[in-house]
Parts: sequence; structure tokens; C-alpha cells
Amino acid sequence: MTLDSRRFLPPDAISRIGQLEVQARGVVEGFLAGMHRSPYFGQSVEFVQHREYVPGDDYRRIDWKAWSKTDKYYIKQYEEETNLRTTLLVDASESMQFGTSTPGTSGGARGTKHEYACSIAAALAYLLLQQHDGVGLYTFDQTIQQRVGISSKDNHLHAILTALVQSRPERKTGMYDILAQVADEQSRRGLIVIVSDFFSDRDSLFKGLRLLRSRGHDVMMFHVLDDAEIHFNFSGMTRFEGLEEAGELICDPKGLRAGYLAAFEQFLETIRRYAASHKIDYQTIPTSQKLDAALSYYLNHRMGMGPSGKR
Amino acid sequence: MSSWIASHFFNPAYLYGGAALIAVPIIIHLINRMRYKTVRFAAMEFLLASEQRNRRRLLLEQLLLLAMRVAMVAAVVLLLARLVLDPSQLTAFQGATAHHLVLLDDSLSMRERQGESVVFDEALAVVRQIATEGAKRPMTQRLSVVLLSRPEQPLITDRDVNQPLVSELHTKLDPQNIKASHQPGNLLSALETCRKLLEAEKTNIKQLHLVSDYRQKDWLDEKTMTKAISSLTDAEIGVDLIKTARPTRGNLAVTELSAPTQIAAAGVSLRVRVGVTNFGDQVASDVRIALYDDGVKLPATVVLDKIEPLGQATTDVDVRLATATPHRLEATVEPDPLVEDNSRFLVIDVAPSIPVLLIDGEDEYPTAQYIADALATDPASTGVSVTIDGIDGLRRRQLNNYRAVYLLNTGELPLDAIDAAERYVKGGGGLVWWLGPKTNSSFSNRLLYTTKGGLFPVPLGNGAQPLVADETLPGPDLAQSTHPLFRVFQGDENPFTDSVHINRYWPASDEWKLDDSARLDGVTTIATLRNRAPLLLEHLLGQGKIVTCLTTADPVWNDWATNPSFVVLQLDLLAYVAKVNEEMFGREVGEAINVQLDPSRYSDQIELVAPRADGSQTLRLTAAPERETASGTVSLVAKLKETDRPGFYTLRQFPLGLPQTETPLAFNVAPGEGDLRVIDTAALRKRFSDNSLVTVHDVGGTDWAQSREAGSEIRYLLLACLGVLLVAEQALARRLSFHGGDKVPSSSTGPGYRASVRSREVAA
Repeated sequence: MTLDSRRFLPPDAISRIGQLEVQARGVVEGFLAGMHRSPYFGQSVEFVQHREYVPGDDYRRIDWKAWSKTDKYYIKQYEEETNLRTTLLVDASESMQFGTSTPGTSGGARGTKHEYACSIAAALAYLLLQQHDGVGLYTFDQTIQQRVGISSKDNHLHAILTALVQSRPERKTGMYDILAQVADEQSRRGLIVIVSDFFSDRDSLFKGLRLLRSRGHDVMMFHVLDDAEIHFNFSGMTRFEGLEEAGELICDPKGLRAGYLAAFEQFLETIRRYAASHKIDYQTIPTSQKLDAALSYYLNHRMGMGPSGKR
Repeated sequence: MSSWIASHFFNPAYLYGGAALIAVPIIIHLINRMRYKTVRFAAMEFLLASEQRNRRRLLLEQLLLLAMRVAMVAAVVLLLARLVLDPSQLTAFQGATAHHLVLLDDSLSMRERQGESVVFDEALAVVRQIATEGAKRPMTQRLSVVLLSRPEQPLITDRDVNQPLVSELHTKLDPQNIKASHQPGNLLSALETCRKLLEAEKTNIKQLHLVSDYRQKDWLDEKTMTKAISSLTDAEIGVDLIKTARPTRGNLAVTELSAPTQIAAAGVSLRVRVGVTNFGDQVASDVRIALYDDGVKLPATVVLDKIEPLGQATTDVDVRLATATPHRLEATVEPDPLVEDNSRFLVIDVAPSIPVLLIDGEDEYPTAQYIADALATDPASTGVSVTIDGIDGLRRRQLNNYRAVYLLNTGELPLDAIDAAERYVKGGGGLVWWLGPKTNSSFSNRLLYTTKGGLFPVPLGNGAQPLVADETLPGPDLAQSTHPLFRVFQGDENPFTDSVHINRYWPASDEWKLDDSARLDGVTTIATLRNRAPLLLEHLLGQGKIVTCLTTADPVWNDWATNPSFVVLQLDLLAYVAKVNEEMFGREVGEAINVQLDPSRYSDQIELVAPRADGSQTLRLTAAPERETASGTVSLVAKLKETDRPGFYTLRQFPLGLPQTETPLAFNVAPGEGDLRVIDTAALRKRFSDNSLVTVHDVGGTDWAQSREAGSEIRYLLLACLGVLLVAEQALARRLSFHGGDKVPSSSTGPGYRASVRSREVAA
């Protein structure tokens, strides 16, 4: 691992994150035992309940001890665990270049949203690889900048981190094309984690998300936002130059704050509603928030959703 | 506009400067618009949406805020410039650069004593007060002080009102150093002069302060005075009418002292007329008049029992002046508020006798005898010395030596005699015609009568006519008029003239109109006959007077000479026509003495001994030679103007090789100046109520001149407005979040402000 790539993983973050147990909530493929066979053999098998045998069930799974006691065929059901195939999508468009947070003060957070997004991706990749889950990575703007295939090898982290480091936020975001491409390339169902500010065409984004969901992917949205974008606490006469060719405006930001916050909240609400309606995990993560705290909150939340959240 | 500003602002100069300050908030606003930092921002979409939605509101709020800030600056400027809603509050020294012209009344009436002080001293105090108040605002006030008696020679000319000027004025206007004159003063012409002075000024504010006693007599002609004041205000000159005299108790003035000085002879009783006017509103009783002859009180004391308010009482006093010298006669009443008009002065040049020449046309001079008997039966009692001569005497004698010449029943006169008589009369001599049988009407009409004025007043008819008895014309033969000559005979108690019978007379020619007013030839009919034919006529020739009687003096055609009234008439007639020494005439103070001397006979040195409060003062001056354009002769001319004080003056002239001559002269104050009635303040205010530029200040107190807090009510209003504006501005600014509000994230200005967030200032 180069020094450059290490910078996304501060030691303190690694040590704290390392204690967390990453639990992937949904098993993408073969999640519903009995309905589909899991294509993978999980390494840990945990008994959950007995179920009466029905024709078609594997004979091998009949609990003979129970038959001997009850003279009925029961099937032992186990919660099967499978290797998680996780694809990380990190937005490397120009708008991700914005950031006002001070680096180093937020537990590994970086100044720009892009840096923060990279940190999230790196942390997730690390955690997943620790659990021997497969992790892949895409960085994108209008097009896919970097592409790292899914692997669960220990040394795969290096490839991911290298790709992250090499990504340069430059161009506009083109969501649908990216998501469509990812959907095509990831034919096997898995978890798609999108880390972005989602400052792109909403229809394009939703269309892409819909496609991913239709392909059976589980989708997580990490909405990385800067505090300045959330609270808009600018003051004094300011000239705002839009990233991604969004135009420019000279104004006193205080006067526009209320309108901005309303529009912004509406934007968040739209995404939030869409995510909820399409069973997409969505989380807003301010860049000022500690990286590990954000992840632990999210993962705990996902675990908490566990059984009831099965899909 | 500028005059409006000047009249509504205490410090108009601040207004002009302050007007520029109003631009400051706008400039700051514009500069703020141009000074901004640049932020590269991702979420522009929402910002632009917000801007789109709030653009109009923001613009309005910004404009409102800007307007409030401009209004705040304007309020401060108005406060500093001291806005005054009511311009009349800017009475004295509350304008910007202003020229104040003080017209100080120094007429005689200002000398009235009211209580312990003199009205004029009060006026001086007012002027000093005005200057003192003006000095509180140096460099903004200019002052001129003009005296009513000589408006063309200002006491102070357009000076900056500052402390040195105030000190100078305190010296100049000290009652010890300046006194009111003894002259009436011409308010109208002084106002006109002031108007011209102020109109020539370029300053915006022009104020005339008329410091006067406001006597009724000066403001009696309401129309003229209002017009004079209006002409000032029309020229945008503010007028302060400042009263300094309170209503007066009353004043007695000796308004007449006269005597037939032309017939004053040594040792002969002279009838002197003394008149006193009561200018008060109460009846004056037992008014004692003291008479002084050359400073010595005469034994006779005159007492006037009663003088009605605003009435004059006269009395005649017989005075016997022993020596044949000029006598200085003075009549004085007891002191009252105005001392200067309590005395009147008269110079009487008493001659040893009154020489009269009687020219009789007949031998042995029968007619002249009658006249001589009438005039000088007892020369000691009449003082008349009569010389009787024939017609030739006109040519031989120096007529100027006689006070009067009588031509009695003369026929034809030699031409040189006519010429001598004409010159005598034109030079001031008195001539009396009595006609008779020898009168030649054709000669008279041809050589003596001219329509342009000759020795004879009337063209005569063809011959003397008898006065025919006519029952249709009852009454006495002699129908006298109200002429002064017959004053003694007037009234029912004196029937002497009624018994005069006229039998024959010379009629005027038929063309001659009997009515004086229709004729207008300067001839006045003194008396007529029963049939309305003229009997006694009077006319002037040059400076002399001619009285003509169209009948005889001796009892040939009438019996007048045998009537007791004849003597009285002759004496009165002599006094009436006698040559007067004009130099001795009473003059009014201020009147210049014009001296004209023959350089071959007189030195060019002249002395005038003028009276003073503490004695007398001798003024010397040199007469300047002046060539008369008509005759080409050179004479020494001098004009003596130092005649302000009433009293006796003495003019000394120095004949070459001879002792100096002294001519006494009497100068009196104008009789009307004693009228001290003051115009009512309310009436004065009412008179100018429709003229906003005229302010009337009552007597007493000079508070109006003090720089009182004008426009305080608007100031408090402005202060309140300013306070409200400040609060509203803060509230609005806070609402617009331009003042702090939410805490700006420290990171925005911290070191982490990375390349994506650049801050820079763009120069204008």
C-alpha cells in the first residue's frame, strides 16, 4: 500500500472500525431459503427453526431426531450466510470537489466531499475484506473513471485504494449511464453502495436506481454533503461560482438562505422518499460527521432492521 | 429656492454639505455590491432557485433598507442644518450669511425722556444687543447701521459682525458719544435709501431693523408707509419694526414765537405772539411761559389758563426792547418729557426807528401829512420816523434805507423813479399806493400795470367814480375780508370800519375780473366796496410786498382818515408791508446757513458760534470763491450745516479794514416733533398682518434678538424620526440577516478554506 493510498485510512479510524462487526443485512442471492437455493455455501450455519417437510425439500435436511420423537418429518431451517458481493460507487464529479470541513479533525474526514466519500469507500472495503466478502469499486463522473473488479482477496484492498486515489473529480455527474453500466456489468446480484452528493439530474438518478433494483441489487445511498451545503451559513457579499457549469450568482447569501434551505430540504426529501419507496437504504452523511461514527450508525441501523427488514 | 432654504434653515451651509452626505449610503451600498468574495459552490441549483423566487422581495428589502439609511442621513443633516418650519422664528440672527441693516431713528422725538432713561438710549441698547447676538455667529452676519437723519452716510457700513465690531459699537453707540438729532427726520426717504443699499447686496438674507419710537405723526399716512414697507418686502427684505418708546404722558411745546420784527424799534413796545401746543391727551392748565431777552428773564410772565388736548393756545405779549441792537428773545415752558421743544427762539433786530418814505404827488404834501400823523404822531410810541418828499424823492433818495415807501396821489412818475421803485420792491421793500385825483389811469395802465406783475396791481378804468348809494346794496361802504390787516376790526365789537364812508374811488377796468380765483394773477383783494368793486389790493413783486388802495388817504374822497380805525390800519399796514431782514427769520434746526460774500469787501473767513449744552462752540471755516455764471462776478460762498441744536447762533463776518460784524440767528425745532403720541403696537401689527416678512417687536426686552432655540419642535420630531429609523433599520437589517444572526461556520474562514473556496476582493 502506498503512502498516498494510506491517507484514506487513518490508523485511529482503522482501529475503531476494526472492532465493528460488519453485518450485511440482506443476503442478495439465496436470501430466502426454501425459495431459492443460495448459490454459495456459507461458512457458518445457524439454526433458526423447524418446519414441516413438504415434498421437494432436501431429504438430507430432515431432522431425524425430531421424527423419532414426533413421527413427523421436520426440516431444520438454518440461517444461511453467504459471501456478500459489494460494489462501491464513488462519485468523482466536480461537485464533489466542494468542501469546507477541516481535514483531520473529524476522525479521518477530509476537506472535500470527494475525499470524504473515498474514506467511506475505503473503510467499507476494508471491513468487507476483513470478512472475506467480495468488494468491487467504480469511481465515476460522466463516465466510469476507475473500475476494480469484485474480489475478496486480502490484497484486494490495495487495488481499491489505488483506484480511489487515482480518481480526480473533474466533470459533471451522469448518473443513469453509470448505474446502467454497473447494472450491466454486475450481473450477479449484490450490494451496490453509492457514495455521492447526488447533485445531478433527479430523473436520471431515479431511473438508474430503479434499474439496479430491478436487477435485484440491494442499494445503499450514502449522501455525502458538506455542512455549508446543509446549513448554507455564508455571509457577506459573495460570488458563487457553480461547479459543474451550474452558472454563477453574486448575492448576499443571508437573504437567500431561507429559500435555499427550503429548496435543499425539498431535494433531500425527494431522494429520501424515493429511497424509502424503493427499499433503498439512504443515509445523509455530513462531512463534518466522524467517519467511524457514521459507519457504525449506519451498520447498526442496518443490523437493527435485520429480520424484519428481510426482503 | 436658495432664499427658501435660507429662510428655513438655521445653518443653510450645512444643508448643502449634508446633501452630499446623502449619497454616502448609496455609495457604500454600491461599493458593497462590488466587494465580494468568490466561492466555488456545488449546490448552485438550490441557490439559483432561491434567488429566482426571492429576487423581487430582496430587491424591495434592499431598496427599503437603503432608503432608510438615506433617510437617517437626511435626518441628521436636517438636524445639523436646523430645519425651522416657521420662518418667522428666524427673527434676528438665525439665518445663514445675512446682511442686517439697522435704521436707527435719531429724530428729535427720540430724545423723549421716559422715566430714568431716554428713548434714544434704549434704541442704542437695542442696536448693541443686535450686534452682540450677531457676534455669536461670526463670519455669517454682516451689519450696517444707518441713522435716520443722514441715511446716505452709514455709521457702520457692511461689517462682519464679530467681537471687535461689538466693542466698537459699544463705544460708538454709547449714549455719551452719540445723541439723537433735533430734526424730524424723513422716514420715507431713509427707507428708500435702505432699500437701495440692501438691494445692492448679494447675500440671500436681508433684514432691515427699523429701531424707532413709532410716533403717530410719522405713520399717519398709512398708505404711503405701508407702500414703503411693502417695497422693502417685495425686494425680499425682511423688516423688523422695533419699538423703543412707550406711550407718553403728554408734552407741551412752544410752537410759536413771533413778532413784527420789521417794525421793532428801540424803546417801542413790540407785540410778541407766543403759542404753546399741548400734545398730551389731557387738558393742560396754568401753563407758565417765561420770556427771556438776551438771556435775561423779562418781568412779564405769561400764563395760559387752559390748553385743550392737541390744541394750541396763543397769547400776545407786549415787550419793550430798549436798545437798538439785535435782541435774542426766548420763550420757555416748564420741563417735560421732551425738553428740546420747551423753548423757542426769536431774534429781533431792533432799529433805532422805522424809517418810512412818503411820496406825495401834490405840493405841500397834504395827503402825506395824514399818513405821517397816523404813523408817527408820537415817534416814541410807534418808533416810526417819517420822511415826506415829492415824486422827485423817488429818484434822489436811497430807497433801501426805508422799510416802506408810500406813493400818495401821484400822477405820472418819471421812468427812472419807476425803475428805482421796482428795484426797491423786488429787493424786499414794501410799497403802498393811495390813489387820488392826480392819478393818471392811462399812464398807470401803460407803465405801472403789467399782467406779468408790475408796481400796480390792477388796470384802472377811465376815471374816478363816485360810489353811488344803492338801496339794493345795503351795508357799510367798506366791505373788509378776513385779511390779517383787518384782524383787529373783525367781530361785532369793533364797528369802526363800518362807519367809514367812501365817496369816490378808482374803479378797475371792466376787463379785470373781480374774482381772485378766476384771475389768478397773484393779486389778492383785501377789501372791497359796497358795490364789490376792489378797494384794497395786495400783490407781490420780487421779494417785496405792495398794497394798493383805490381811493385817497386824505379825507377828499372818503372820511377814513377821520375814523379811529385809520391809525390802526396804517400801523398794521406798515407792519404788513415793511421790509423784513430775512436773516433774522426763525429757521428750523438742520437748515444750512448759506453765506455769500463780496470778496472785495469781506475776508473769506467766517465764524459760526453755535450753542452747546455746556455753552457755545465756535466753528471757523473759509468761504470758497465761486463765479456766478449769469453775471460772471466772483463771490465767496460758504454753507454752514452745523445747525442741529436749537438756540441762538451768531454768524461772524470780517469786512476788510472794518470791525467784524455779528448776525444773530435763531434755530428752532420743527413744531410738529413735539407730538409724542405713539402708534399702537396692535394697530401696527394689524397693518402688516398680511405681510409675513414684517415683524413688529414691542418696546422693552430684546429677547427676540437672542438666538433662541428656533424650530425646537421640528428638531424633536426629527430626533424621534431618527430614533425610529435607527430601530427600524436595525430590525430590517437583522431580518435580512445582514447583522450577524446565525453563526457563520468557523471553517469557512479557517485554514481549511481550500482551493475550492477562494476569497478575494474585486476592486471597483
